[in-house]
Amino acid sequence: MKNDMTSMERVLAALSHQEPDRVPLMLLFSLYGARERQISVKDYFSDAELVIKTQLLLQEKYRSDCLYSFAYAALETEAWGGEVVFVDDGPPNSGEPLLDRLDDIPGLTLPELADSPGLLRILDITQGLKQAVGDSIPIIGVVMSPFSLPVMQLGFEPYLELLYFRPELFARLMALNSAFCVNWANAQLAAGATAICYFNPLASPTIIEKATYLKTGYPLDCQTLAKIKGPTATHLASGITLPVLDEIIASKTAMIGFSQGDDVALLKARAGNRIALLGNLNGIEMINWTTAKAREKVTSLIRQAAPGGGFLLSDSHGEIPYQVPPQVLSTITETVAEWGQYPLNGIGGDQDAS
Amino acid sequence: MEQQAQQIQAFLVGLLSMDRIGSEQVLREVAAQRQSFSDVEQVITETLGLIGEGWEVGDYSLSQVYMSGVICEEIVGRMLPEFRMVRKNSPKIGIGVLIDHHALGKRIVKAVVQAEGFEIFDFGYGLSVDEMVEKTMAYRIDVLLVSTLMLPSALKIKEIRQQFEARGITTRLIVGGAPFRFDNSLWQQVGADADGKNATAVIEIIERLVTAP
Repeated sequence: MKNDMTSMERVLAALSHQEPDRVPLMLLFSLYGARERQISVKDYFSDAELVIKTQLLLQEKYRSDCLYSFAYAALETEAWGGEVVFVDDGPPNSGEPLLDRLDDIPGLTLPELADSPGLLRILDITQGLKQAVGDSIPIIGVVMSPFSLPVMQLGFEPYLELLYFRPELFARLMALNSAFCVNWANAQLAAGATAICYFNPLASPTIIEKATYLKTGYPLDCQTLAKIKGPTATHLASGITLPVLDEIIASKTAMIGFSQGDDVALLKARAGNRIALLGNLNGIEMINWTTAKAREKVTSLIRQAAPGGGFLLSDSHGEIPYQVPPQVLSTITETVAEWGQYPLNGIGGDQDAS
Repeated sequence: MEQQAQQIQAFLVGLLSMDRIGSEQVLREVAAQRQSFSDVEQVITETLGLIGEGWEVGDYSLSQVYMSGVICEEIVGRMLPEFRMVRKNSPKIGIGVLIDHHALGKRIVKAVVQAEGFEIFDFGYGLSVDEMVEKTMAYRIDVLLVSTLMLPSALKIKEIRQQFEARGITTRLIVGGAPFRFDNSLWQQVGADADGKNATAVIEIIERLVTAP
């Protein structure tokens, strides 16, 4: 396979809606590193040096076009004083909510990044990755959007009560969360992150109906994204994107992480040259894919989304699950190498690589 | 029929706009006209079915599904005693969240199951496999509803099935939650009897399972 571009050049070309040498492959490894090292998820994420080495190892092994400094979503609530529950073979989960009662929101104060060992460790990882690769491979940092973070801070049910029935407390929490999000994103960019993935599953009509999102979370997302001093990708973490595509484009984000539930061809047509697409392999199904199924899924996705650039191949949720067999990942890599070369001769028509 | 369609439409609008008072008013009108809770139940079931189907195709949001369930639960809780309505021969149903601490799905399903007049025992969330099995035995549960959010938790359901088999427990196992929505065959892999795609589907499955030999 002939690859003329660095990963950074390849990704930047795709983001500019040009066809690079091949389709960029963005395998988002976080806890998968613990599987690679055969140690517990908790031990893995507590060792910044090991995470750096493993990120570099996995990137090289699977020819991914990015490094990913993300550990787990609950890390942010940890910084707010929340509980994190570790499991052996999956992402750490938020435990008991941070607040017992919504009326406790006015007493919340903005956490200092410097007081959170977990966040500082991510900054160390980001710096280490930057030292190792310079500008040759994009380093993707992650923040939770202010609008989606309360699911972990409060629990889903109290958050819906806050969102629908307690507008003043909602505004108070959103102001704090937005300030935290901007601080955290900009700290990662200062440490060497190339771009920030802005996880916002609640922006999807899968979770919150569009009319409510546009009244509540959307203005806040626009304000927050505008204060982040670097490129961003908005990721709806498996939620459908098409109904809110125009609004997300207007929020001035460079890329959107789309869902396995989206109509890829329609999304591609609607997105045009206005935003790049990141997605949308089904990570849950992936754990049982055969080689033939993996090839079929990857070629089908390339056929629909890759023509003309503006597409980066990834999973739909923002993380490769721990249970995905290495053989499936190797097949994805090999299929992108074989069928993702631009110009996409042989895959744009009726031929099927499967 | 036309009147019932109008009542379902009015109830649908009330639930989607989270209008508790208006929604209850619709159901009370149904009850007053027909003097029967079964007609109220039918309006609830059909409306929640429409909302569940709407979520499947992206017309409605999870928050609307949730709030609709909660509103129905509240209204039914107020109206049931007035009608002294108890479902005869209700199977004993248990519900719990395995490992995870996110109980939204459980709350939705529990609300709808209760609204249908079934007896349901809530085992809580963050439960281990052993706790789930022990509670199933202690309460002599006929149908166990297991909700999960994370993939590793979903895969652990296999251990519940193994313990059921080892102990000769015949309780039927219905699973639900995000991992099962992303992979349509996962429920079979973990040894469940059925995949509860949404709350109204769960009702149909319960009725089917408890009448099956």
